[in-house]
Amino acid sequence: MLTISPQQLLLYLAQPERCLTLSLNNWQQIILLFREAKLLASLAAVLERHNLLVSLPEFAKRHLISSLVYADRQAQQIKFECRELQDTFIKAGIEPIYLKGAAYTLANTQNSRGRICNDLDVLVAKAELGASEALLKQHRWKTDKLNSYDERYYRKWSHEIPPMVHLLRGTVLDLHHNLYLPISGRAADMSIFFNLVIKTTSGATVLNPEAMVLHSIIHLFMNEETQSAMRDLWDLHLLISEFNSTDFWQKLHKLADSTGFNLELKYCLAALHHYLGPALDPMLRSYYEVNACNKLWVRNILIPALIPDHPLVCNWQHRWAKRLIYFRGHWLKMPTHILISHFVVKSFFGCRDALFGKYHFNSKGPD
Amino acid sequence: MLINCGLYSFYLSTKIPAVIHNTQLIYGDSSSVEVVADFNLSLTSTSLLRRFFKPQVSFHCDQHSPFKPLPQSQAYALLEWGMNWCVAAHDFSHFLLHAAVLVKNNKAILCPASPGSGKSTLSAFLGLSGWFVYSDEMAIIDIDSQNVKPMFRPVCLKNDSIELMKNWHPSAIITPVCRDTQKGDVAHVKVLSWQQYQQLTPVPITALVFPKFKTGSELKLYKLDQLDAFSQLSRNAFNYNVLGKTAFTLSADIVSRAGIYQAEYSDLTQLATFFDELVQA
Repeated sequence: MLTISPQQLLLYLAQPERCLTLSLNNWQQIILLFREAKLLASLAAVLERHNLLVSLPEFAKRHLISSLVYADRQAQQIKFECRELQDTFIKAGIEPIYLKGAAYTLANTQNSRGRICNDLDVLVAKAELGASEALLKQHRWKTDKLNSYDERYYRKWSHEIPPMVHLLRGTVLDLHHNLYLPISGRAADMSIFFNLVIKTTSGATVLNPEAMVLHSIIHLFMNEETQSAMRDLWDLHLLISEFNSTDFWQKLHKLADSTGFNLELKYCLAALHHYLGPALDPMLRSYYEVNACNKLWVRNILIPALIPDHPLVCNWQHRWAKRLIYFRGHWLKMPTHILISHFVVKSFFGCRDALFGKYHFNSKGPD
Repeated sequence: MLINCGLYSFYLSTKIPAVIHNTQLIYGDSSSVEVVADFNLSLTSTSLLRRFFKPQVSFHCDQHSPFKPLPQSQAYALLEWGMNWCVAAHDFSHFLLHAAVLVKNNKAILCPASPGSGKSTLSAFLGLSGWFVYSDEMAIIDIDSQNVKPMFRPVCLKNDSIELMKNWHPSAIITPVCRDTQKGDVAHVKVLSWQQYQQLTPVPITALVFPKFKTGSELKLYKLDQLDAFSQLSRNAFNYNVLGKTAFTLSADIVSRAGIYQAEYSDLTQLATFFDELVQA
């Protein structure tokens, strides 16, 4: 049934002329897959940039254009929310740093066009966390009620507080004080990152190129979730292509060394080489080849786990890889004794839902 | 199986006999040759225990389930609502308005109205007496031409109107009733054959009529001003927030060109006469 190999997925983005020869049935699969991977609008953006949208069949064009309209609207909303936040924070003397999707949009990086975000990620210093949360609450951001276990998880162990939702607009905001969970023992020394910032043309603060790329790497390769992994990898490819210079690489390696994420950087190069090899500039390609981490588990578990979670590409091996990465992600996050109790609590809820159906005990509708 | 609604098509996988039967009844005459599905749907049982105890069915669009599961007896209604959701949540290449679209003489009358205004009953009534129902719930408006496009869908009848319709049109094709849904009892009635549907083309919007059913009332017509109509349109649009400025301009254009009326009625034939006048000349 499937005519597209998982390894070629990102090549449709990197070499969009490949899309010109797709049959309607191929398109149907590509649209389902890319939508699930949150990459449909990115594909539309690439095709538009190369003036290829017009040459596509009506069926494909309609879905691609719709996804792009949605993504553009989201970008507009991000800019609006950040302007509002900026006003709120600056008055209180706090300088928030925008992360991930919001930062890409504000900095107008190559990957920002067509990028779908789930929420707005904002970073403040730990010392300003309480004041920031109070400030947001004054400005109509509220926290959804969590069960006491989840609440404690966020407050005690996490690098962010529970997600906040804007009362009127429904935008979701994650307020961070670190780039990774302090409980893990692997959290970054934030004094380094707070110095690696730049101002965008609109006056917002974002991480500078090497810090932005390293954060994206930490997010992708220390995470237990692999749902948006392909999108994150595509982000990394475009960011690196945009920043690519000797100076950039030196700074990136130095930062990864000093913050203890050198191995994650090597995983990233392996994944980029695997999924984008044929589309890479030859210099970059051999650089990745030399510097990537090529351990057996990276090739057989980490890299396969990154493909979109969709039956069109995900076979049982991928599903196992995803499961293992899920456990690894948790294992990295928490010391063993906390991890065990965490899984006991979570699997109790899991078993209950499998037996009675997800909504039996839950009055809230699906997201 | 493939459900071809003309403008959109859906691939459905399900084992629920009532759904298969109703789908055949409503969409069976459409063609599925060389059609690629826009959406992949499934209707499945929710959990192991639930298969035996108060069976529930859940709707999936590809990997996602946007609604809570419903009792299995409501499966077909869930499918029809799910199909609406798919379009509303994914199509941003059209302006989508929560409105019934009734067409005669190549002119469209849009009835944007809140549930309970009687627009479905009106749609079914007109659809079975010489009008073309482009949709009973969702106007699909082309952003460039501002014409409204036809969909090959049934009309969703609720509560008393099901029996009324059966009495007026004993030969109409109506699905078995799903009882006690969120909207009460519902059944779907076929108002177009595939052959008729294929003759339909996008048409301009002539009038906006906001119907209001009131028991025992003679037909009363009020002219609404453009501002009222504009605010109603923007409130009734599915994707106004996503289309932003495009939707704003489009709504403004529509209200400045179309006749705008509020109609209080109890007798459908009186309202139908008025509708006929609107599309004359």
